[in-house]
Amino acid sequence: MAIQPADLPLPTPPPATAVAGDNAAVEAALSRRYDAGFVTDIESESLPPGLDEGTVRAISQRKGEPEWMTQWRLQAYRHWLTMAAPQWAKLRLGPIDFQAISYFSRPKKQPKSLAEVDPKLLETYDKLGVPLHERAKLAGVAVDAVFDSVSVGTTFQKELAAVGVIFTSMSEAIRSHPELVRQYLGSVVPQGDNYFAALNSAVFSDGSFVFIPKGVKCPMELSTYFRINAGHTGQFERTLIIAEEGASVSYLEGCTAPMRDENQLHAAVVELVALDDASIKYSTVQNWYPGDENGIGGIYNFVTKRGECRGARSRIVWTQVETGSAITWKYPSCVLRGDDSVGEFHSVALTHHFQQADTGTKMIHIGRNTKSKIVSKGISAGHGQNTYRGLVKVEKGADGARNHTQCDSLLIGKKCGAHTFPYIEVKNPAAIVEHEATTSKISDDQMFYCRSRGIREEDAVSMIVDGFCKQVFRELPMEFAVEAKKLLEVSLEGAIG
Amino acid sequence: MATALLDELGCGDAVQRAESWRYSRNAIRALSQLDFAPAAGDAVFDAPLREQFEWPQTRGRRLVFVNGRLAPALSDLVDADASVATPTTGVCTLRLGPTAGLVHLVHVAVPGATATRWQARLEVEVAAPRACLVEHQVGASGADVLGVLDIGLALAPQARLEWVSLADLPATTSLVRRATVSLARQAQLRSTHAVFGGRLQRLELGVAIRGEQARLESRGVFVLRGREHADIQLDISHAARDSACDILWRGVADQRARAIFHGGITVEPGADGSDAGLSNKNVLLSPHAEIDTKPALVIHADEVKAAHGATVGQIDERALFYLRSRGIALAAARRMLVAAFCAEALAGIDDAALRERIEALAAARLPAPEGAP
Repeated sequence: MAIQPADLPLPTPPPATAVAGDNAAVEAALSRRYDAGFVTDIESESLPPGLDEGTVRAISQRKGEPEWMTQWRLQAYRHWLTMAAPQWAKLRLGPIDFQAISYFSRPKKQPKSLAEVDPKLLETYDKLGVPLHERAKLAGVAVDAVFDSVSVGTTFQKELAAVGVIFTSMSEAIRSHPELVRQYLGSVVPQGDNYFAALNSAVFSDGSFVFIPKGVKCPMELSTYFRINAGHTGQFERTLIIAEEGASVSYLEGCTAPMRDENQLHAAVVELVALDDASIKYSTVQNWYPGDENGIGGIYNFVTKRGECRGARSRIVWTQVETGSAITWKYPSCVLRGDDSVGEFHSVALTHHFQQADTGTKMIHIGRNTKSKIVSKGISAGHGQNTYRGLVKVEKGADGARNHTQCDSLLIGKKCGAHTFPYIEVKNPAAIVEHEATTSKISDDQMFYCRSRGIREEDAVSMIVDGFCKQVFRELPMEFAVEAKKLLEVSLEGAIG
Repeated sequence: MATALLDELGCGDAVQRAESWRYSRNAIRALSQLDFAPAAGDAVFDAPLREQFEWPQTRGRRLVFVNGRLAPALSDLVDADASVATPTTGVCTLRLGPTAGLVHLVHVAVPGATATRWQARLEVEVAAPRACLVEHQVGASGADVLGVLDIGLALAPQARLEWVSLADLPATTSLVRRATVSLARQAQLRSTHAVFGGRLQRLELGVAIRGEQARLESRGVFVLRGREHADIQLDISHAARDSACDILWRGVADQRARAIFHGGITVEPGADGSDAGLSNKNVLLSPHAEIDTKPALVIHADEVKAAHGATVGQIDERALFYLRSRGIALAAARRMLVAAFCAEALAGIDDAALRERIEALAAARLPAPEGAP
């Protein structure tokens, strides 16, 4: 048990009155299991639970890292020791026992190429619908698959290398492109940035590394699929994406984990760097195990994601669909340093049962004529608590900065909560910052209209929710949009009362 | 130092303060460098200060406090259905009777030879079906004065109160006001706050809507310049069904001023039928000024309408162009637009004379047209 769910509410059976309309169908939907909740029975080697300098050195050593990397990790670890866990989020969270987590776990067999990957692993990804082998060609998406602490395979590396794109696991990048890693690692999210980022910097195990050289438009979408399999572990991955002058890339991220009664910690760091005229689109469909309907188990998803528009006219777009995790706590952010740079954030966060989310974004306007747009849709059902927290900061020199934030919440049921905490800090008189937020429920009128057209209650709900989220879904690559819509339907079924 | 001062003033514990004082930390730190002596309740002051509050229309309806202490010689409630309990415990209680009408409540901050400080507590009980409370804060330039005023305001069922609050302070006066308001069933409060000047002005307005169908309308405007610093903290809690709040605040910061606006609305579980709305618009007039705004919604019920909006920007260029095309000089056009922007928040004041008085005070704080004296 890594995390004590001391503050979690006592399980209460779902009230009988909460289910109206076609009871049998709704109840069937309610009892539907989390699709990705299976465990792959594979031999793995793990570090024993516990965290000290020895653990940090052991991780570094197992990954065959150079001395500078080990020192970088130790520096982060020593800094982490001086920090206290943040308390400000609107989350009910028991204390985390960092000594009970195993910080490194990997399948025993280390494949040299995709062809050597354990069939069981391939099967896992197959079951999850992630194209890792021949099918990958048809899908046209390059995938890096991260299983517990290590990357088990990256597809299309050759094809990408032909145009100069580097897409590889972080461990591999540290070995083969140390100069790039040294130059950019920690340059957006420094080691001591925050409590969980410091922890990640000390113990990160793997993740993806993407480098798009000057002028290259990445010929295919890149994708990483994160899977937590082993129990009593955490996943601490680190992703670094660099787009040089005029480069562009679209990157997708998906994640799942088995169903367990323990809470597992996922503390990742994602850094994006966009130079002049570069563009990075980062899309996430987060489907970590959310815990059961009584709030037992589930992933704690505490992630630091930040992109820096370092160059003029650069652009970073974050799109996230957060349906999983017991607790989601993250703020994908943009530092708009380059003149005329653009940051966007599109988010759908859904909390059902006892899920909690405190998520949003930060847009830091530093350069002139920088623009940012935030669209956040929160959906709360059951006992879910959904918080939007965002910061829009306009620094003194950001003449002509422009921000628009729209933040809508939808409440489904009496016991859930929807909260909005936007922070707006403006130091430039030539900036325009606007924030709007609304909170509403699915109105009886909307339901009546749909029902009178012969649409079943749950279909009507999913239709209305889909409409509510449309603005965000259309920012997602097509396959992801379809998956996101499906996920939302599954997560919401049985929510209407 | 700053922590010690906040402790002395009773400004919550460290965790609460970390959030609610986050933007005023430097201002309170600077204040805490001063060595405050207790302010004299019997301080004498001269005519110009007196003229600020001796309004002919409120003669016979006025209550004056000097540095937090009631000044009977300056007070006269003969025309108002109101009574005041003399403060032996340090808490002054004002009761507004059924036919109270308008009551002018003045706090005068009179500087001493060195930095001084006062602290007072005022309880206001309103049973009137219709009453108007004009809370007026004035001060004179000189050595620093720091005032801390706790105001308790309780509205009985079906009581209606118009609360007009005008704080027009010099750059050496600091004022921390903490108002705790409770609204009983079908009570209605319409408050209009004008926050002008001050070295540090902090206004905490906590309203608990406890009764069904109670209604709060909060209007406010802050106009700051120089190095003035204002920190507005609204926290509205809906704890009863079918209650409503409608909040509209406007802000202007010029020169090196700093303004902070927090507008929090909480809908407690079970407070279905709540209708909450907040709008906060701000104009920055100088590259050295800063405005931080933070509207917040915390919603725990689903039969709720809640919305908020906040903006920080500048004067509408098109409106400016329109006025200039009509032959109005740039500076005058600017001033006109900012004055109109502020007037929106003052429009709710029923008493025309009072409204015009406050509008004039706001206008006096706006940047003067070029060439004007």
